[in-house]
Amino acid sequence: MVEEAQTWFRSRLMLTLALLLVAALLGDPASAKDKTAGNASQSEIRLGMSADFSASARALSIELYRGAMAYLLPLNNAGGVNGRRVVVKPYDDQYEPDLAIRNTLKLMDEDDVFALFSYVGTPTMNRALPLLQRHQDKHFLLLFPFTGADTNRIPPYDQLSFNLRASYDQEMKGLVDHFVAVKRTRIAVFYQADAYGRAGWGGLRRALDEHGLEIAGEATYRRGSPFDQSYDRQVAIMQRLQPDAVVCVGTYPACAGFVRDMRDRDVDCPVATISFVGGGAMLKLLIAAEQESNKDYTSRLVSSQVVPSYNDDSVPAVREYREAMDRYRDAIMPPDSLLYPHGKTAEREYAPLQYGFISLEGYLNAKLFTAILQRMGANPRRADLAATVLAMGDFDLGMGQPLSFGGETARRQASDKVYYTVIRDGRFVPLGDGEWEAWAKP
Amino acid sequence: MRIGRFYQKTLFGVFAMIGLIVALTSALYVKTVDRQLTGDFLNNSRAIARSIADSNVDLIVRKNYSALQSIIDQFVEISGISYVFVVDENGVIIAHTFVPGVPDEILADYKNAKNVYDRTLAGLGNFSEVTAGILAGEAGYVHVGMDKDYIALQVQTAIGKEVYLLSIILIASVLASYGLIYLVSRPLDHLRNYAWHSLSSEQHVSPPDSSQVKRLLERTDEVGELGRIIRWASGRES
Repeated sequence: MVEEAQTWFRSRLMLTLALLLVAALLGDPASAKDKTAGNASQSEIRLGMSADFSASARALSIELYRGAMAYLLPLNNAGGVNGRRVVVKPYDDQYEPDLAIRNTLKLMDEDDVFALFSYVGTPTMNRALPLLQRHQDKHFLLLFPFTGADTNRIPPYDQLSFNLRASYDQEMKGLVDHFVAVKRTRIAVFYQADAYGRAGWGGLRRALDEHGLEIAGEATYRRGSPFDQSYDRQVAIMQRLQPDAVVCVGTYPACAGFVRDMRDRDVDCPVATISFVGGGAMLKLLIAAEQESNKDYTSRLVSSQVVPSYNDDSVPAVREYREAMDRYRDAIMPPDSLLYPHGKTAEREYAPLQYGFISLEGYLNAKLFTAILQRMGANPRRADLAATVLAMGDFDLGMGQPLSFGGETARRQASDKVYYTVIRDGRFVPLGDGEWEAWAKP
Repeated sequence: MRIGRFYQKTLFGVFAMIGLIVALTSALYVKTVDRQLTGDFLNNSRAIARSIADSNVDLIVRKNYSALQSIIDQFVEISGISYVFVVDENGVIIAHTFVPGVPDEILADYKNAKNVYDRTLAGLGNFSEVTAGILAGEAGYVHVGMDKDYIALQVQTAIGKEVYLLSIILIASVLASYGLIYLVSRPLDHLRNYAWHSLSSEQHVSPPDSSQVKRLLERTDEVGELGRIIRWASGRES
């Protein structure tokens, strides 16, 4: 009996050793090196996206993803780039930094993505960037995050990222310059009490400083605050301050709730929102509230945007985008497992927007990545990504404005342009430079 | 279970002694724990303020407010830390964790550059606020606010547990003392009964059981000795 067991054990041991030997012989040491360099697989290029798909800022992430997919779907149907499909691997971080860290580790270690792409939010990005720095030997880059914060634009993390959009500082400078020009100098800020809100606050402070002004006052709210919540405490601060204008640095539910409560308490100064707020989703909430209360919540709102108006058919990229959004409307939604981790209910069901600034930005992000990939040749390597982007120089995405990377200043942000829009007849329309006079302080 | 009168005073003395020990121990413990835990909390908040001030000089000097905010947001997740704010060299609060805004009480006096502030903030509670200078105060200050009610709760919880334990010890000691004294006083009771029966003509107590008298007289201690003396004195043989 003992002898039988020994024989069985010996045979298994020999088999295991033989398998290990075969594995060792077949294993190519170069493959380990390739993994570090980030060679793309033969069939697809994976992009990793960590964003809030199920919590308070989900509309931003869903629309950004839909926009990117509206570009990538037909691209992949037509054979991809050099025969490789471009695939976005999305993970839900619920706008929570700790989850973003976990997702980033998973994307880098398990999914071995080619690059991180279109992350949504400042607090999440701020915590992911140190991970990229720790994995610098693997050459991971964060491409086109949906934030205008400074963190990936200044040392020590500026070398780990490329941006398409203008920064919050640029958005704030534009808003402040216009407000000051029409004698609205007492500018207050309503912002999210976190890294994103602080980035906007910093931008506002710097912009006012250029005019020798200071922030007139501030009110904050907690990340994740819903539209239904009362913002009376914040509005009370504004009532006390009596500012000439308020700039909102938040997400659409909180900003919409704040505007509603401001107007309900007859605080009627102009309110400006920046691009991350998510103008489309905010407008939807405010229009629904207007219908309920018969009040006007949508006039005297101005939004700064970092992409052209999605209604502007004169811009070639906008035309392409609208066509793609119409054609692939239902095929570009993120998977339900991501949107509804606790099960899909009628109450939680997300109704996508037909068009919007955010999906347009997602579309342009995907288009820009594809343009970069095409320049990388038949065997793109992660290690060559930064050099390729920096070598792009001036290029055109059909946005009706010049874009550039690299050059003498080694630019890592393609666009500096900020657009302004107001709401008329329930839709966003561009606000021309000459139209700011209408916002002059009486 | 009755105890002889002779031992009732002793028992009372023992109870009083144990009670006094428990009371003194509790009082000492309350004082020590209160001082120790409060000190620990303040030291922790000082260490946090120091750590933010020392390790983020670069962010503060570069005015990377967003990254600075990310860092202070992590510290308010620590139990007991209620708020953190950072003041730059011009006295401007460049990052904070308050909602819906910095309380007026803080705005009124945060520039006083004290090491510790005792604050009562309307609607928020009572706080001990410690400060740490950034580059020895040249680049500003970090303020960390500890919730005094949270500290008090921790102190009360620790004391409550100790008092609970001491109360159990007190009750157990009283019961044990009572039991022991009963064991000691019972042979004396038998001896008293035997003496009454042997020496007194009153005979007002029931006669002792013969086996009980036998066990009493066989004892080798002082009680047995006294029993035997009583037997001799009474001149009677059992």
